[in-house]
Amino acid sequence: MDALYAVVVGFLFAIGVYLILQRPLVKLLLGIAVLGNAANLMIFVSSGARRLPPPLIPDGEKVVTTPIADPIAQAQILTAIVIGFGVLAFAVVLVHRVHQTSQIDGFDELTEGVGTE
Amino acid sequence: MIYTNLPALVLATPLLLACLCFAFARRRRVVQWVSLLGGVGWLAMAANLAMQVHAQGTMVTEVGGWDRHYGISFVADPLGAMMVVLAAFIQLAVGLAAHARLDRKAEAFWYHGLTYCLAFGVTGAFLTADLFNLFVWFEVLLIGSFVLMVHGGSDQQLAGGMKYVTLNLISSVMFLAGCGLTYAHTGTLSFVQLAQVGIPDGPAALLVLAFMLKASVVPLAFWMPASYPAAPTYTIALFSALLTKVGCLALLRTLGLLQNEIWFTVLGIGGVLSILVGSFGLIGQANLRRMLAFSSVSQVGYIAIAIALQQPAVVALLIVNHALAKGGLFLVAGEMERLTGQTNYRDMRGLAERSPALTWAFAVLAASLAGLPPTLGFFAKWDWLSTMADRPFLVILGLVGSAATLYGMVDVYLRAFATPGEAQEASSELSRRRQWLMNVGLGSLVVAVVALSSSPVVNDPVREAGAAFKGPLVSTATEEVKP
Repeated sequence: MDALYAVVVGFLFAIGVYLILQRPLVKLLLGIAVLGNAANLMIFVSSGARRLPPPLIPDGEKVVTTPIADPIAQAQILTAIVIGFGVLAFAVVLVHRVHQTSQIDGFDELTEGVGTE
Repeated sequence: MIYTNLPALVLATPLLLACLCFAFARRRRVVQWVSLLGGVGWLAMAANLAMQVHAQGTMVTEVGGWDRHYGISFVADPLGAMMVVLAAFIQLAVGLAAHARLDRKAEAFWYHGLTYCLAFGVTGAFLTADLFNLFVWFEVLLIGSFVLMVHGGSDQQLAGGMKYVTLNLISSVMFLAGCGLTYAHTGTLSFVQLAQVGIPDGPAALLVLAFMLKASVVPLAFWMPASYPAAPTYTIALFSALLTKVGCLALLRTLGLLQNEIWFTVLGIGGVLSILVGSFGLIGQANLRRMLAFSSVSQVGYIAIAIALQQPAVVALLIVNHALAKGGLFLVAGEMERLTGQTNYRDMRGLAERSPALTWAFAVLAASLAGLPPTLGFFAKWDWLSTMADRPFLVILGLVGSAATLYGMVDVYLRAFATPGEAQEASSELSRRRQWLMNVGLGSLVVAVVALSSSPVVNDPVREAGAAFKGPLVSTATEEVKP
């Protein structure tokens, strides 16, 4: 199962990089979104993507003795998803605004006008 | 090792100030007073933290009482505490200048609150003790910087901001992937535990690349001259003083955790290239802001080489000097542009006659940047050169880089300040109150650069704070006593 996840993560990274290298800004955004998800999935797999009970200590015991899911990796992914969502929302608005004000859609065209005065 | 809430308190202050600024966003005067008085208070708290750390040793806050290897924790070691003081000082000084230059519309759009959001992220990054938390703090400061970058929303700013945002998002993904792989390999993210296990090569490559991009080390530095010049000068002053420093400190903290020592060499080569590219890049620039941005690349090169050779004391001196001098020079550049209405320094004339105070500020800050006495920059460069004494190539490189900076600065002085000419029309006039704010903000940076130059001779807080840095943040658990 881990091998399958590894292939999927690699595939997602490949798609993300491919999209970032395209000219249109919208594809750049999609690429960044895919890359972010690839990284999140990788953290998920890194903790061992198995079906395990949540890390709760049973009543009357001091420690957990049975195998449990790794809470640290899950906390990381949740944090990373929230951050990625917020940052991506900002990037979408930014691209929209760039398109609105300067009517450009390609990254190369951005070089015009900055520092060339 | 002392367990106390002080680091968390110092960290929470900018967040509180940001919230207050947002809450009173409609009342301009209130926001101005909150940001100024709050800035003074925060600086006092940071200085208090640094002094206590100096007197009693590293301080640790464990949030919620969780063991710091698993939960969120903040560790104020001497270097981190000193960096927080630096951040608070820059925030206040540049904030004064921003008060002088901001118009009503910009202030209404939450400018001051956003700078405190940025300061919150920067402080967190200086005080964190955990790789993943470092990622989170990077994101906090990045979001703040993204908004400040496009604040005002001119076409140029949007174009510059687009590049800045894209590059930083990509480096964030690399950083996150590096974190995930590190956890997969080692099962921990705390700096202390990582120092014992070591980060293997795969994640190490991702982390080093991400931090080199944030610190703008060549070959990952070209976003900086492309995007920084687009934003207003008081914003760039804040960015160039603080943001690249966070990247530098992250490099210093993590490089010692890597298993393979080749990454020191990689960073060293990046530093050499940075000095070359930055020095030769700045000579050709006509736009003052682009010139200063290239000079930042070359200064980061010095820092990168010092990190690669594991000289934390030199790193501390260089970071403090560059933050103060470059922050001040961007403010000077803003004033030069305002007084002449030009962005190309070759078109500026007669500034020495019009504003002697600005001329002096420029001269002192430029001297500190190039490394001439009697400024902090001289001691920073002197220390740098003396630690490289047995490497003649690096000594020559350092001198060449310094000479190039000096050449650029003298060129600006001769053309823009010393050349007499008919008075050019100022693009805007400052009221007396605003001029006073600008003078105090800029003046405090100039005074700091000169005053700190006496410190290596007298009591040396900066070098000492750097020298106290010993790789992993906290010593191993044996000697610790919990309350």
